[in-house]
Amino acid sequence: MIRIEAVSKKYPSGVFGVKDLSFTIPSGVLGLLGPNGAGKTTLMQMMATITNPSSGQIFFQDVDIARNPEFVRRRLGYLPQDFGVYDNLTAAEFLNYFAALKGVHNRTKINEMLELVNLHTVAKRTVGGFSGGMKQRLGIAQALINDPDLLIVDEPTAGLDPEERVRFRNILSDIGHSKLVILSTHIVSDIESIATEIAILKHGQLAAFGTPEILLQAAIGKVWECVVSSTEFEGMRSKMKISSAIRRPDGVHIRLVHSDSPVQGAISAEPNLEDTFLYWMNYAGFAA
Amino acid sequence: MSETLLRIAAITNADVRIRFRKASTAAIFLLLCIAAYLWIPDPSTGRALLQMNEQRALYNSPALAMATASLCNILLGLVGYYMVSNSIARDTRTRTGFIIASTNVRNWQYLAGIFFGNLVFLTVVVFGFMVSSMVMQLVRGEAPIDFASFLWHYMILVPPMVVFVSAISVLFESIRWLSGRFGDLLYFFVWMFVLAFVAITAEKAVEKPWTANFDTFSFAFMLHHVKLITHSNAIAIGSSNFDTTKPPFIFPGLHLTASWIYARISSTLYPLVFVPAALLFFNRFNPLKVKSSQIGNKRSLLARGNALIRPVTVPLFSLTGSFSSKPSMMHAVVSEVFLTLQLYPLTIFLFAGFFAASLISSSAGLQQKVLPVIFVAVALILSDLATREKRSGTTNMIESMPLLKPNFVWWKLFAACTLVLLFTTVPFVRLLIHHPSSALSLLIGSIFLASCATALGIASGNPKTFIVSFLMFLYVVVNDGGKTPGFDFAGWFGVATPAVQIQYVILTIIMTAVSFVVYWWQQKNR
Repeated sequence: MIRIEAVSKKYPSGVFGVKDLSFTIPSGVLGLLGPNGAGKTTLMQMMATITNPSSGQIFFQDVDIARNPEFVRRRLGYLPQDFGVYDNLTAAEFLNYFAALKGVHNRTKINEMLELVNLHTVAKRTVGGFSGGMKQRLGIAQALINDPDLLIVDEPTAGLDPEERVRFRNILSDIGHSKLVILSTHIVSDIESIATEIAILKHGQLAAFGTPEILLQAAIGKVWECVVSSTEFEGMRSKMKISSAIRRPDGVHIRLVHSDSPVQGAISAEPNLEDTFLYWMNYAGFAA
Repeated sequence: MSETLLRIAAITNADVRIRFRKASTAAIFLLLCIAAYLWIPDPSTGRALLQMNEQRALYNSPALAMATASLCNILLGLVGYYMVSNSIARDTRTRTGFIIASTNVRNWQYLAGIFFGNLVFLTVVVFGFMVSSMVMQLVRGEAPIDFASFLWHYMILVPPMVVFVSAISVLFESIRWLSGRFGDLLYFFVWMFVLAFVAITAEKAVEKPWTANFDTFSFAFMLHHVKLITHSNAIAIGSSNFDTTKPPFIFPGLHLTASWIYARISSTLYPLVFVPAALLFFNRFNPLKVKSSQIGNKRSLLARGNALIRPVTVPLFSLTGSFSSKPSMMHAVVSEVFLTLQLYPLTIFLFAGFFAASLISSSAGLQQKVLPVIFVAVALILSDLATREKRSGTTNMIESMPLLKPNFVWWKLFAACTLVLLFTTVPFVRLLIHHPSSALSLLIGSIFLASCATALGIASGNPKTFIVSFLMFLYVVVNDGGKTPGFDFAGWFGVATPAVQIQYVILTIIMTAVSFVVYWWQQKNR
């Protein structure tokens, strides 16, 4: 279980990366959603003990991680954003290095991890020649190598092809049954399919927190579909949050988020997570 | 093995593997072989590696081992630092540092791992240097090779330097404002200070001086023994002319007497204090500090100075817009020069300072004081020029621009020449009036500098390669003080002959050719 209590991170410039954040998640997969600069990475770095909160506390299994970072580090798997590799090491050597740093000395574990991320056939190749997706998979393998109780992954599916993304989502989902997984992503569908809880961050603050069903409920009656002319569409585009627009011979088919019916003839639609995200970002306040 | 030792061993192991699989490491070993070949000349040429009172030493193992180990210390002290001082930066750049920070590796374990990585790498480099020297004894030796003698001399002379470089690089890398180019430059002066500190006291001392306890270069130890043998300080190490009328003497080798054991141990161990000192500054990849260095480029002292000055120079840079009418090489070169000035606004102030100094200094002052300082400043600025794209990941973007890919080398070379000439034009005009020959040397030297910066930048993608090469060359040139015309590459001493000037023109052409060949090869292998 991870418990965040009134956590803030203030930069020397006076800007808050994260402000007064509080929530608790027992286990499962927590998806962090938010635009760039919302504070997702800062929050994850604090949970990964890389940086300390300016105020507030983070508890993992009731242990204050700022006071006892070793406790969480022993149980943590972490994959940072824009993760790089040592080009001159082979995939196996790279994993072996991080295994040693994490105190894992079971060599079969390295092969297991390489198989899990589908890199076992290139285990002896130097990673400098790997594609972006292969490097990302290697990063995922290092995060999982110590069987972590808490897995924090920042934009883990960036650079993966659709098949690998599905494969990785399934891995996270499996881990989330017994452990706690926290992931951030811009790809809403990644979170939609595996997150048991979602936190939406806006300007460093919590805009919404809850299960996908609860968040979706809030957007019911706020999502609309209609067909408009190109001229009408241009006018609406600047005023409303449009989640999709397809030009067809009979006009522009749009789906948008709005508090009430935007035009005559608009039909209320069932919200998906993407609509919900737009709703929370643009029409709702902050979570209590 | 305990968990702690396993972790340190893993960090050391990874660090050493990463270094040894780089092409630059192979290049270093090749250079060591070349250096050994050059430093151990054939005595029939009138030059020898080791001489005392102008009497050359017979090429036996003790003489070659002591002399090459001493040269190795000088070389390792400078080049070694630039080779190893990038481990923490590498973990920051790749963001693997964040992962390390999230594990239960202690700060001291990480720094110890990096220190031992440096130590192992430098020890292997020294071993390579020793082997190439031994091979040279097989080629030019005048006595049977004695492996034990080589090993003994390297073991008593080199370890203090290996430990010093390994430890101080950890310290410099841990201190934010010393981990950039300012630190690289400062280290050069630290190296000179450490070199002079013991050498000066040891030269004057009759008995073992107190500085012998901090004898990183092993000068005090070596000089003490030379004095016992020759009763004078007149020792010359490195390829130099000797008196051919005097017969060669047989150097018996160095012996470690009881009174020197403590001094040698102390000299080896005192630099270890730098490693715990580094712990005080190491930020464990704290994103607040890493972020400001990566995004805001405010890490080093130079970068802070640039950030401070930037607002003052903004109006000047608004001029760049007026150059962008249609693509041409001239516009590209001018834009590159302006970009350099934008990235390093301190350059504008340096330019103003050197402009004034060039005008008001005496003729001798201009040549021997102002010009060397100008060249150091310009070298720092140029070091970034040809490595910029690789380091910032903008290579593909730049190559998609009109004209730049096929003319990349010319583009960088002309921009480098423009920047150097910005600084050397006033001195050039002054010299043209009083010393036309020196003015020509200055012009040639300026372009030579630009071609070296371009070639080494393109070849290595690392600004340190050019900085360290140039600083070493500068050290040799300044120490020579104009005694050897061949070193007067930029008219600082007014002794360059037309042959020397032609020599530097040829070297400039060679360096430019190297730039083209390397760039072509890099493109072919992409």
